[in-house]
Amino acid sequence: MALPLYAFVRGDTLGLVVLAPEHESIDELAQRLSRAAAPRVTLEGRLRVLHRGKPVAGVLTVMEAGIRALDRVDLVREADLG
Amino acid sequence: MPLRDEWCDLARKLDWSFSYADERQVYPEALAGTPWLPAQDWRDWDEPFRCTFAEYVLTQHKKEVAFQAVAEAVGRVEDMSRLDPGWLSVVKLHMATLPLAEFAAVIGNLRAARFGRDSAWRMTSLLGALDELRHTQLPLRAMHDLVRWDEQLEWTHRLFHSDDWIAVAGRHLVDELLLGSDAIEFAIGTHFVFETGFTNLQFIGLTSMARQVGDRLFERMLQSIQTDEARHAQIGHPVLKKIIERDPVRAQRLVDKWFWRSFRFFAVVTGFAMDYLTPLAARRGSFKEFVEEWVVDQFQAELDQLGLERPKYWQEFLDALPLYHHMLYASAYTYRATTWFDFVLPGPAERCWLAEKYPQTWPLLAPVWQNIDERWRAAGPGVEWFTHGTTPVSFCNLCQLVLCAGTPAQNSALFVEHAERRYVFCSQPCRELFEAEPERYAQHQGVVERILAGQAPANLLQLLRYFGLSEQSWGRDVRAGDYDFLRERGS
Repeated sequence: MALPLYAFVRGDTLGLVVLAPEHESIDELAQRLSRAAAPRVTLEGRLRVLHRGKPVAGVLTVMEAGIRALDRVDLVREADLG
Repeated sequence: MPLRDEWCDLARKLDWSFSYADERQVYPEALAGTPWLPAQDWRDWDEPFRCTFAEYVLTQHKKEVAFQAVAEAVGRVEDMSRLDPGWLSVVKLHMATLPLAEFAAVIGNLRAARFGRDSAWRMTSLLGALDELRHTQLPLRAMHDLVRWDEQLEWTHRLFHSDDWIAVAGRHLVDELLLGSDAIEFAIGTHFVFETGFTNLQFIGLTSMARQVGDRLFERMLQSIQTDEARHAQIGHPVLKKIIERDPVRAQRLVDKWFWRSFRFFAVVTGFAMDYLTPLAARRGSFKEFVEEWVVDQFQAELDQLGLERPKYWQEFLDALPLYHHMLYASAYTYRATTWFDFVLPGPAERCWLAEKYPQTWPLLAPVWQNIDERWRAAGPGVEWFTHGTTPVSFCNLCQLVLCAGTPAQNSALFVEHAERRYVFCSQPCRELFEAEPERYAQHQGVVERILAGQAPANLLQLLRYFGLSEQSWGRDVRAGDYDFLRERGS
């Protein structure tokens, strides 16, 4: 099952709605978000997904990470994490 | 006393006593407005400029004749085809949004003409309704014969009937302001805030730009509309003054709310026009400069005179002024097929101008446009899709505009749970306005809710059809990405 998520890519000008399969890994989700924002922003280097403002391990699946339908996820460069 | 003054009030200010219904039945609070005041409290309601029906008809007839003459002289295909393509998008955007808003304003004014609490107010609203009907018809008439030349101009008529996201956002605003408000909220929100506070941006700023760009038709249409607006906008002051006397908290709250909602609307319609679509040589100032002059200075002076505070979201408005419409335009550029007008890719000269006008915020936006440049360079002219998004975008559950607030580094979207449903808002003011009146907004189905409910398709191409767009009408880059500066590396 795919979950609709509100997605915000650092450096982008708008929020997107992406459909993320529950069993997709967080790293795959990061690539999905990156592609969705590609017309406006290109994030280089290792990317991290934030859920509730905190980084999520890339090996987890969307479901394992506790991400639910209509949650907010953010995509940032790992280098930009504090 | 001149004869006119002897009989004028018989027509404009003639109230009567009710014999078989009481006043509260004739003017129920739900329609007449809060606070409900007895008729004697409204007796001193007065508009500064009085107009009889006969004078109205004569004046409007002259205006119609004058506009028709201009339309016949300079509103032909050969005239329009000489206009800058970016400016033509200004025309398409405004010609379509005017009927959508103005027709709702006809109904709003007619409701005020019935439920306004003083006869002079009702008479002025009646003339206002006739004004707004005219403002609905002017763009429809002016563009009608041009549709065969440019199919996008059909959206002058079509937008009103479509589920395009701009129509959804526009209707959400005007349905509440013009159809769903009681007579008091309508007078304050529409006449005082929207018309007195913001429409000068159109009537002074855009009229001046139309003249510069050589679009006499658009210039004359705005001038013709402006004289009507100036007359019926005067309803706002005396209503607001009365509410300030009796319920200053409500007066302030209505100004707070409609100031924020009006700003969001004008950021799209006027912000796009002034800072992107109008050719550089014809620009008379930036959107921010016009807002600073006509809203920050002039409107604030009016608030001071009335003893009102600055609108509650004043600081958020000032913070958003140099950024929000830029975020929205860059987003809309990469979703241009979702609209019925074309978009301009700002070139080096335009970007220098924007950097000069927005020194603090343009550096935040410049990387987005550089990214778009690179995509155009990689794909080449004509390959629109490579600089176009394919993923559905998210919309604010209050203003219904794309979640484009905050900065590129930190989008300010906020989430709220209400009645077991999650809502998202572009900003704190939109969130607060929703939370203040959830019963008014909670059931609305925006574009995303329609997609999730299966009422609208998630696939972008199919969504364009749902919006009512076709390959002949959807928006493109005005030059299909064929810009000299894109061919010059390192520009």
